[in-house]
Amino acid sequence: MINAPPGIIFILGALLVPFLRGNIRKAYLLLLPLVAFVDLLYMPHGTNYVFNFIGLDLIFARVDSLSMVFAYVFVIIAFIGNLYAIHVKESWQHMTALIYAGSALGVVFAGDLFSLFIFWEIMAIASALLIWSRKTKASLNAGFRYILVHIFGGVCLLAGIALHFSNTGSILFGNIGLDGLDTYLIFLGFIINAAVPPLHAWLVDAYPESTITGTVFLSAFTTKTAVYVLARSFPGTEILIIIGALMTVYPIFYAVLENDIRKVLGYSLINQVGFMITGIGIGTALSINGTVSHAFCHIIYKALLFMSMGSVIYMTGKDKFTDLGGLYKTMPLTLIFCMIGAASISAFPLFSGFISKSMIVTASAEGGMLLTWFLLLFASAGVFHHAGIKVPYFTFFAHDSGIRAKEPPLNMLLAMGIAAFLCIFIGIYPDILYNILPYPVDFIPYTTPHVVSQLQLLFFAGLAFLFLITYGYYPPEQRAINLDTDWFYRKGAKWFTWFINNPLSEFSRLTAQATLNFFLFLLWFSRNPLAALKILLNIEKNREKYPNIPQYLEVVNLNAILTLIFLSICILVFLLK
Amino acid sequence: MNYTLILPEIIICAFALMSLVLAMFRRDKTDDTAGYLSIFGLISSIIFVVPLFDIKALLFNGFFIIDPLAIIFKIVFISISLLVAICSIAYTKKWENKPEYYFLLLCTTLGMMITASSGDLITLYIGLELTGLSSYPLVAFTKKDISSESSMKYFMFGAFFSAVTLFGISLVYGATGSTSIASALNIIDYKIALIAMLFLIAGFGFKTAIVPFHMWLADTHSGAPTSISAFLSGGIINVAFVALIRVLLVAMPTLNIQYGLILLVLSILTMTFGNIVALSQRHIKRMFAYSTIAQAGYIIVGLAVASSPDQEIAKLGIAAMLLHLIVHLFMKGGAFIAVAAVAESAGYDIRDYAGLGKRAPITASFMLIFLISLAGIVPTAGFISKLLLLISAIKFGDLGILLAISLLLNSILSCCYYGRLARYMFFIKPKDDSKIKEDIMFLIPMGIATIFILIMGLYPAPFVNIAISVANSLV
Repeated sequence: MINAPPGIIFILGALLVPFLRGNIRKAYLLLLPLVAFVDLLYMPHGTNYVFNFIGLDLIFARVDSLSMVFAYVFVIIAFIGNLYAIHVKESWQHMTALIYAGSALGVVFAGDLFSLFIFWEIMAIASALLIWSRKTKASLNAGFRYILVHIFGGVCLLAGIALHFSNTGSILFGNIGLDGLDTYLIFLGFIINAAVPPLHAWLVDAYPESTITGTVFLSAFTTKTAVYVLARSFPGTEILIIIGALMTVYPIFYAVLENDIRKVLGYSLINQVGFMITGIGIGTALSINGTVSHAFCHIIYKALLFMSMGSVIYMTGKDKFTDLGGLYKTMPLTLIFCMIGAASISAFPLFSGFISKSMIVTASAEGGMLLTWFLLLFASAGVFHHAGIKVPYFTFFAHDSGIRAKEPPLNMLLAMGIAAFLCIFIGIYPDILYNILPYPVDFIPYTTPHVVSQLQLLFFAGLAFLFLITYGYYPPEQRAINLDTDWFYRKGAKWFTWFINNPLSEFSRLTAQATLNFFLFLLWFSRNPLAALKILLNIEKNREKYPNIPQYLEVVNLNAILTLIFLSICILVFLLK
Repeated sequence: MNYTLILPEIIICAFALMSLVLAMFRRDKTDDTAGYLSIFGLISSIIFVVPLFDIKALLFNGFFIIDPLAIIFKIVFISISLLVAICSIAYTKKWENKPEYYFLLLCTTLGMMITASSGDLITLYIGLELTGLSSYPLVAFTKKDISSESSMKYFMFGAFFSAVTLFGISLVYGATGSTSIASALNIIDYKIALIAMLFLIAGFGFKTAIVPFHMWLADTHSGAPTSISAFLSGGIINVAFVALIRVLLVAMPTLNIQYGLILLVLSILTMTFGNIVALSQRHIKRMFAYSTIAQAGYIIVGLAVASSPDQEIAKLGIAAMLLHLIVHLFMKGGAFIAVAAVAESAGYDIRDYAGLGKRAPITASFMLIFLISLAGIVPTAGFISKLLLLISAIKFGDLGILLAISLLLNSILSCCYYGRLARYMFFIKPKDDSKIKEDIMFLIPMGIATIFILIMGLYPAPFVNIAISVANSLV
């Protein structure tokens, strides 16, 4: 018996959740990822679970080292996320989270484009349900925008798959490469899920509106499955380097301006995914390894950050930096976990981010891409500012908000503890991660130049921050805005804002207006096509005379005429041919 | 002659007459006996239909055919009739003259079954007329102004298109001296064959609501009793599909007429028109009626693909079409039954559906599943059948890509109005949040439809295989 695909274990297992109560459910929620993990450990490489569906081979378990890395971290994060959320009472939240995790695993193991698409859609629906489960008006609206974007992406993907199938006659999911309309459509479908600017708005829009526990799941799966499929199908595509480099830089400006805690983390999520996309674009063995390992580490430390900030929100009920501060006195453990996450995302040596991010940066340097390398370094400093310093500083220190919240419940602490342990453990023993990467690794992170240059970068970035704090240049609530803007960037940002405000917004206003007018016309026209046609053709002069329901029996005459027209057109066309 | 082959029809006919006889002896005007009687009749008829699946036979000198296509359509027709009959028990609770209602329902079913089995253009015509004539009074059954008006329109359209159909048949007869469907093969003159085929397409296209013969549908649906709307959408539009399959596939391939091209244009027109008009509808039954037009457009995609010279592709097209037709029956029938279930307390405007998720949770969640399936989203049957249509369209060739693209674009468009209804049901607060009583007789047919949709969505293989085996028997 070959092991069942873990995605199926999750999805089928999720269906049982509503029938369980109390401690049994808690045990079950923790047991399910463990079962899947053991299942993964003994998963043979190769292609299994092939079903023939009207002449197409649907492959549900194509296992190789690339899919295994993602599968491992997905199962780990499902366990941590479940532990973190175990106190939640609504069973359907657990259910959607499990289905969401299962469909992400399904994507990772899908060996053909159709089964990939099916899991892709389930993933979109499950994650939208997870956003809606907060049940506030804001989350409802954000969820709607989220699902619309993903349906659009899904349709692009499906159209691309269909065209690809008709062009090549194969639905095998492997290296696709950009050539022709079909691959562009598939590519578009993929990068919408990867939150590539300017298609990233759904992420920062929706993630902060989800429940505290749901965000942990959301941060892990959707973007990282996109990274996986891109790494599988478009490695070495040059445009990804440009896209990725822009992705790393672009969100930084927004992240330092933002006041909502989880929005800042959302922006830093895009920034980190940018590193991975760049790695895919470079396409060498080293950079792909870097991408995969960075995805692995990123899922864990980003979840840790979301969990620690979630604990703060859970205990205080506030999610704006201006309302928080001075929490270090009463939430020391949360602070420590948050600092570990912050150190990892800022790539401090001995933390997990360091051993993976440096691979991508080195790969860009080895490829001789000076500008990319520079942008990545700049983004590294930027991420240290907003995720590494800003988040913990304004939450736990800064001005004392007077809130004296207690530590979160034990299960939340435990979940954060496990994630924090993994961050440090991988940082110290990178070989464990390196051994499961798709390509053999001959990269040593802890060389003197690496460590020294990284420390220099972080040191000066930190110094800038200290300088601003000590001299009290800026009032507390606005510190964040001015943190990493010296005159050069300020000018760039100014130009950028001008561009956004004037030509770009004018263009988008005009297109929006045109689309709106078009749809309004369609609506007007479709209410009563017959009368509308009369008005358009000037048969009916009086425009006010526009009834909602077609007139009595007039339709019969019209339809008879239409039928005769149809018949005569057909006869003419075919007889004259 | 083996009478077990037409036993299902005999049973339906007998039960129809029985409910008419019952009408003579009734004391209580709102008595439900006729309803239960016809449910029993339909169930026993379906029991006798299913074992006939693999049989091929000609009865009455070839006037009456038993083959997998006929049987699958008979199962389809009896199932929608059954769903409608069950929900009618609850829907017609306060009505009078119920035996006549069920008599007409069974007669319509009988007409549909005869059409499915017809081997001759005369049988086909008789079946279609029986279907039509018994459904006109059903639409007007409540005797309200609006339903009388819509029945009137329906009747006038029906008369016009009957004439068109008859003209097509008479052309075939005039050219060959025979009315059997296969005799159309013998028409030598290209012009006569073409005109005959066009008239037949127009005549059948009326019942399937293909644009430009669609205009009866929305008015009739919105005026008819809601249970009958379910019957119209799920059953009656399918009758003409079986007629189209019979005539086009059996008679036309050898005539060297590219009827696929005509159907392709009609299909794109139909789905686009249906979806665009449905966007602006606020009357829920009109919205679903236009959505039926759009879905009919999807179904014709399969028929257009069936004109392909490559037999494998043609088979796939027929299978996809059959599957979507069956799925559409369950989802649209189910959706109309859900509308019927809340019609009395809520009404027909989309704004009346605000907060239905709280007011009638079971009905609303069934409705949600129907909407998801109608929009063609995983994991429902609607997705599977639409995917099959898409695959077959792509395999059709260059023109097929055009079909596939319009299918996809239309799917997105349709999400807007299905999604809007879902939004009203679950996310908008109602003015009046009193609970609506959910009658078990509404829940049973909705439950059956939901179970079918989910089973087929999750495990499509056996259904696809059945559809393909039916297609194999045709080509």
